[in-house]
Amino acid sequence: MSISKIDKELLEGCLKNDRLSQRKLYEKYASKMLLVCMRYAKTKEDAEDILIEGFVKVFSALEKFKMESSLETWIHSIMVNASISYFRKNNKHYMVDSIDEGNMDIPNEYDLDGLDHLTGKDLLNILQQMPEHLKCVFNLVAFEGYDYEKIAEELDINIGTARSRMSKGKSWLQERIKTMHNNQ
Amino acid sequence: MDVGLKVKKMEQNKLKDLLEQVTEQPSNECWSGIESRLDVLFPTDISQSAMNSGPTGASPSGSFLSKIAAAPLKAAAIIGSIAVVSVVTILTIQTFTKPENITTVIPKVSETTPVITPVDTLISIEVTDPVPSKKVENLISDKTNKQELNIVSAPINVAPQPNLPVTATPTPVLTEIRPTQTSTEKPVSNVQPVTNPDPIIQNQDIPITIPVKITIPNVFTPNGDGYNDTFVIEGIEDCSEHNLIIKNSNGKIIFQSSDYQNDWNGMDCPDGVYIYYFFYKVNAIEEKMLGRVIIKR
Repeated sequence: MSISKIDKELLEGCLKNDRLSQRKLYEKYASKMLLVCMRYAKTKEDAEDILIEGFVKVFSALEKFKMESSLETWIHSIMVNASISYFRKNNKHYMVDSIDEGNMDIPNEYDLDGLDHLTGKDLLNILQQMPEHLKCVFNLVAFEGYDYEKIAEELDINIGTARSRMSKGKSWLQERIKTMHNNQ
Repeated sequence: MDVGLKVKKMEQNKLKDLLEQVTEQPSNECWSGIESRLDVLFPTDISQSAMNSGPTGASPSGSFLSKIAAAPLKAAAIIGSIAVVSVVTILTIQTFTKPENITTVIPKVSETTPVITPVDTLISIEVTDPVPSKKVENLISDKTNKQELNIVSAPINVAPQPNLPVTATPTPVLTEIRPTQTSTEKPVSNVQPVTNPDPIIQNQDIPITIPVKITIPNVFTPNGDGYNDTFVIEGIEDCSEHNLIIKNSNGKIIFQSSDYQNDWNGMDCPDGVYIYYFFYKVNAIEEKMLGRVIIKR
């Protein structure tokens, strides 16, 4: 994938540690990436913390960007990684792998109903309220398209746990959408 | 494609599309947070960062234009420095040809000294003759008797004369000496060899600049044990103006003072790394220091 000319100019500036270019790059992608972070965080403030971490990482690792993918994809993946470390940091003491959680077999192939009645804002609000451990897996599967194997590795959990969290997350979301729909 | 997967894919896209309607703008603190982190990780030239920290939003050609605009300034700066150098050279030669040469003790400046900034101070240099000599009164008010010396980066080694022992009081932490560019008079002493063959040099008050040593610790322990309980900036009393800003690792300002009394005890901030910005002014030169400080209780 080729990289746009403007991006290239920005990149060169950023590599020279030019604050103006760095700021422009930031401004170009900030709002998009904030949205990514907000999916993983509880509040906007938390999301901004992740965003800061992510962009610091972007600027310090910019040399490693090989222009094989688009800049946005690359930054996106860094934001996802920053979100994962945020999750890890905040859930150190979460007692995770109870045996039955790992072995639970919930049918997870059902559709999410009522999505059409939702606005994006609603969905984001609901997502933010999702329990942390479910949210992380759900986000990684539903939005980032990670497979369970990778998630298990990233979050240091069993594949079974990852699967069950995904389905739990989904049913949790479904529940929330329903109540929201009924309340309206 | 498997039907289940297809449904899943559709679902994913639906979710994504929904979220894409949302527009969220990060707050302004975000960039300042990133910038402060970058300042520590990859410090830029202060003047450059000041130039770049202005509002952005211009097209990429803007930076090109600013470079063009900056070119004459750069040229002016180069010409200016050449002028300074030449003035220095002339004055240096004059200093060397004078009968009374000045020697100063140059103690080694500690390598750990983070920043040395010149400040104007008067020191008097007494030059005595081995032969009993009379001292002439200070002539501070008379400008022609003053030699203005400034510490700058160009070293001038003034050779000591064996028969003219020199004592400098107080012993200045001198690195180099050169006459100030602003002094209009030639730095010739009032003791002219013709009128006064006796090589007695008067007590002269010579304004020189003594470097101010600012030391900022990288850790302090506000645990109430009486040791290192506050964030103490050594040398802060030598600054004419100063402004201290302490941010947490996310760039939020948690402490700010323009009249800091070395009394910040970390308040209720948790242990961790904080970033300080210390802007100060000595001898009308503005400087900036920044770095990390750890609070550990």
